[in-house]
Amino acid sequence: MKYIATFYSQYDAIVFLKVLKDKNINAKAMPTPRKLSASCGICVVFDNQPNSDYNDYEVDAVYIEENGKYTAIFQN
Amino acid sequence: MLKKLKLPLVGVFLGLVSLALVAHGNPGNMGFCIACFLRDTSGALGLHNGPSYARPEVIGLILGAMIVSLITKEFSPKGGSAPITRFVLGACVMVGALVFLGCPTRMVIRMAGGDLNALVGLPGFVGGILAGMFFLNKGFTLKRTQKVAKTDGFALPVIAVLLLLGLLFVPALLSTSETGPGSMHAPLWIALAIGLVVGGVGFISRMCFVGGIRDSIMFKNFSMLSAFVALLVVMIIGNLIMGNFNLGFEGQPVAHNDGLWNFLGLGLVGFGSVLLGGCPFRQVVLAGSGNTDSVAAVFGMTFGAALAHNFSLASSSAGVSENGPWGFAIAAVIAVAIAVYNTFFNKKGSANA
Repeated sequence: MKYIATFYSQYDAIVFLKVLKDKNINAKAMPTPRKLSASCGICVVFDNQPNSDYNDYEVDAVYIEENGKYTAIFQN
Repeated sequence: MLKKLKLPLVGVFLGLVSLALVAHGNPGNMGFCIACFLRDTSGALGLHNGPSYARPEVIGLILGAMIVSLITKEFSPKGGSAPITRFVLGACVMVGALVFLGCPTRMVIRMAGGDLNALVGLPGFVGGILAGMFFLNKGFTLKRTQKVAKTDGFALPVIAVLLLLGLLFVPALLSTSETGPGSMHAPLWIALAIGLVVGGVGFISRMCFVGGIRDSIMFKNFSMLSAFVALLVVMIIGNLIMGNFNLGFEGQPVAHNDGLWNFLGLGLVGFGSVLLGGCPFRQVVLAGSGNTDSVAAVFGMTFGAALAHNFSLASSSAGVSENGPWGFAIAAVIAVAIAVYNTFFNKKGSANA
């Protein structure tokens, strides 16, 4: 199981990636999976949820990915 | 296995249809050039006196993307992310494309025809993308996209339908060139059918020339790029079979051999496209699926084509026009100014760094 966050801009993704890394959460940026967005954007994949509100960041949506299926757990 | 092959198969498909379009009458190495299609359509609407023809391919692209996105329930009218800025960036991209003479799709298609001038443009394109990525990484944003009225999302497809009806029933209303690239075209139904299918495939695959290069550089993810490699290989083979492969700088169809301006022209296309979030092909496909920000970019490109031809900024087979470098400089300065302002001076409401 992993978490995937999508964003409005590439910069927002980079900022969120840095936040996760500062919290020692294993995270990486990658192209947004086709199923999640029709945009050309990038997403951040991470192992554990940060102990903060996603509203604090410019996050578009957060999904849990299990066996190739995505379930939205946050949508801005 | 099939999943991994999907994008290369899209490239193979795009290569085959590009060969078919040229075989049926489109200009040499034009294939599926979005900049060319929008420029010709701009002329058909009377916005300029350059190459003119309401390209059924672009009508098909818009409607194909709309139909497939409706079927997959992904048609989502949204916009409001700096549409006027996107319009201006679209115009800048088109000026760059018409200095080079083609969009990124045609760059690959020209390379496949043996046109080494396009190979000179490639590093410019990549350089432009890298420059754009610099701004993206530093905080460039055109602000959030929001949901918009459904009528907004359907506006461009309706315009496409009206254009098609005009082409079918009152063609005299639309300008059509009697000579030059605008006069050379595949039969309407073939071009329309190909456009419809490519629009649908483009929507499903999310194919984007800029995205392919960005993913390769940023994530070492080459899946999108594999589509372009497949397109290149299929078209080289096809051109060799059809006797259309002519390796060199001279005598290439609808191309010039001024290396500096091939490099710079595509550099501006890459730069502007990164800021827009996708290449011209991707913008048209997104526009068909209800994204009005992309509609603004497509309108901007159409307007840019009119500027390029009315003010003689566009290059020709004879070379770069006298006004071309000036037009290019103005477009480049505007694009860079947009990038700088929206990166360093327009942070309010963006990310919480």
